[in-house]
Amino acid sequence: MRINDVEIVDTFAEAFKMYASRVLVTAINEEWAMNSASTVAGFGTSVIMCGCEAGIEGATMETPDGRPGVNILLFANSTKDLGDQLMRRIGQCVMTSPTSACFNNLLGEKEFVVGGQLRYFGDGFQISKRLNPTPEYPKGRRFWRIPVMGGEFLCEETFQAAKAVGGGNFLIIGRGIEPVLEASGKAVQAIREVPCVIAPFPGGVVRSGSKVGSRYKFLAASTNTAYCPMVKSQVESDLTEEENCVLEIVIDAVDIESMNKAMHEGIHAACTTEGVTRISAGNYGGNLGKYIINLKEVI
Amino acid sequence: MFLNPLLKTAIPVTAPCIAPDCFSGKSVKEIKALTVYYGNKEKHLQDLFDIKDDGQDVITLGSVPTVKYIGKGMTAGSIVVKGDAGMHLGAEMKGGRITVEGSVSDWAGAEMKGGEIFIAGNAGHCLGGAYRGSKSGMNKGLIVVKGNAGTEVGGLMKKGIIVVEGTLGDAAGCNMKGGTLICYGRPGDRLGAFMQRGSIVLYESPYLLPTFTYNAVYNPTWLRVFLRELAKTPYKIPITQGHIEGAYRRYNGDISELGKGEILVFQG
Repeated sequence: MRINDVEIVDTFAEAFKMYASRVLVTAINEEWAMNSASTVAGFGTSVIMCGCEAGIEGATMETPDGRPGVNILLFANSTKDLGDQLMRRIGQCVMTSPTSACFNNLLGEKEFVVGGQLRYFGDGFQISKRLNPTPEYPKGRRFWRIPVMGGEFLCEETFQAAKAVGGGNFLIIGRGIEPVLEASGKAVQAIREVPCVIAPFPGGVVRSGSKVGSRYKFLAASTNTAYCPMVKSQVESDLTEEENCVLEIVIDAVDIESMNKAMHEGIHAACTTEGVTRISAGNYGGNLGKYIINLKEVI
Repeated sequence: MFLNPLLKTAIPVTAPCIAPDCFSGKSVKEIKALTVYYGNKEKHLQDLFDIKDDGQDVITLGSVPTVKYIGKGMTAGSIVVKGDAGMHLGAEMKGGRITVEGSVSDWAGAEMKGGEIFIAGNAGHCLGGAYRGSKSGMNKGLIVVKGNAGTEVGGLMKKGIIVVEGTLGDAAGCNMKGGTLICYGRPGDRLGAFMQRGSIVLYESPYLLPTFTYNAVYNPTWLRVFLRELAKTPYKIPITQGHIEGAYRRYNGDISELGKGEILVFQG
């Protein structure tokens, strides 16, 4: 199968069950909301070393306090890890940011206390406020008001986590870095238009895709040599002679439908650049991930 | 179900049975036979009311200014009073909605634990308050009064929201332990006396007790959230964008008590 003369390899991406939370950060203006949100999402590329995968979903004006807000999606392998990361990131990146407030913005089956722990920073001067129950929040949303030097930090007591899909991916293979990078940019731009998904790596793009295992005993994963052009002749390469660059787009999504849509939009956008030869995907033979995303099906 | 009072009387009628929970699952005949007290005399509901099944789930009453305990302890459903209602309306209610198109007497919403009460007219004393000897008054829920309210509104209130669009009598929010009291009219004297926690939000300048101390002028984010939520209710509370975005002077008190309560006065 081809799109604009770009071959779509008959393979699949392997995605995993994760848990997601959506944190809504509001502030006096979008610039300050974005300052805080980008810090929350910082160093959140992979669960392997960052604790969680995080990315900015987008700016919004649909906020509880009517101020400009930014939605951040965070993904982790367990609700424990997610709760831990939320505590750290909201405590250090939202509470510290001028004029910010922080709200739960995803209903899920798991719940963990965040504002209810951060409140102790108020040193006894923190104040609890609770809204009346609604169908979405049968107990009523509870907030903590923590006095800070810039005024007052408002944080929701609990945040929720829902089952999600992480690790969806596709590889953009081409003749050189310029066309592949251009195609990656187009793909990420298209993916960012899809709600409920993030591409957590820098600019949404990964250049150092990995394979399971390594020649070193202490290392569980290492560079994906089959797609490394500079060692093409030294390993069992998946690249042709004319292919000199591969970049990967990794996607996390709140649900599989959003994941499929993001894959679809991203692949189609990537295939509009001359110099891109193939679109492939990373997988582990279908043995590890819960979700199999067949490239030909999503496009 | 429509209940039209058969007689105008100054004698109090005690009728906690007028509640959706009590009517639920009963035939009209059984409802007519429910016990009420007319003064100290035991009567059936049909002795005092003309009861008709109008096919609606809502309990509708005519003007019943001497009927007490309407909707007491109710957990769900709706009551509409097409006129005035007596004392203890919605006392200890846990859910559902009561709408009064006229005014209500004292102790409306006393110790309520959920649900909503809307009063188009005035409210009496001790709205959302605590009965004598109780540790706390209103604990969750929403009361909206379009008119004025009497003394000791929200006394010992613990959680929930009371909105009074008119004036407040003396000692509003006395002994408050939590919750939010919002008043658009002028409050009476001794506002927030002995309050420990909780918030009183005012849109008219109050006379404050000397046991309240000024802190700062700012726009409280939590109030933005609360006002925007209240603006979504069907009660047409006069919340403006200025109220949401404006600055408030914050006083804390009552420092003769715990002092963690607050009075926020709208500055504009």
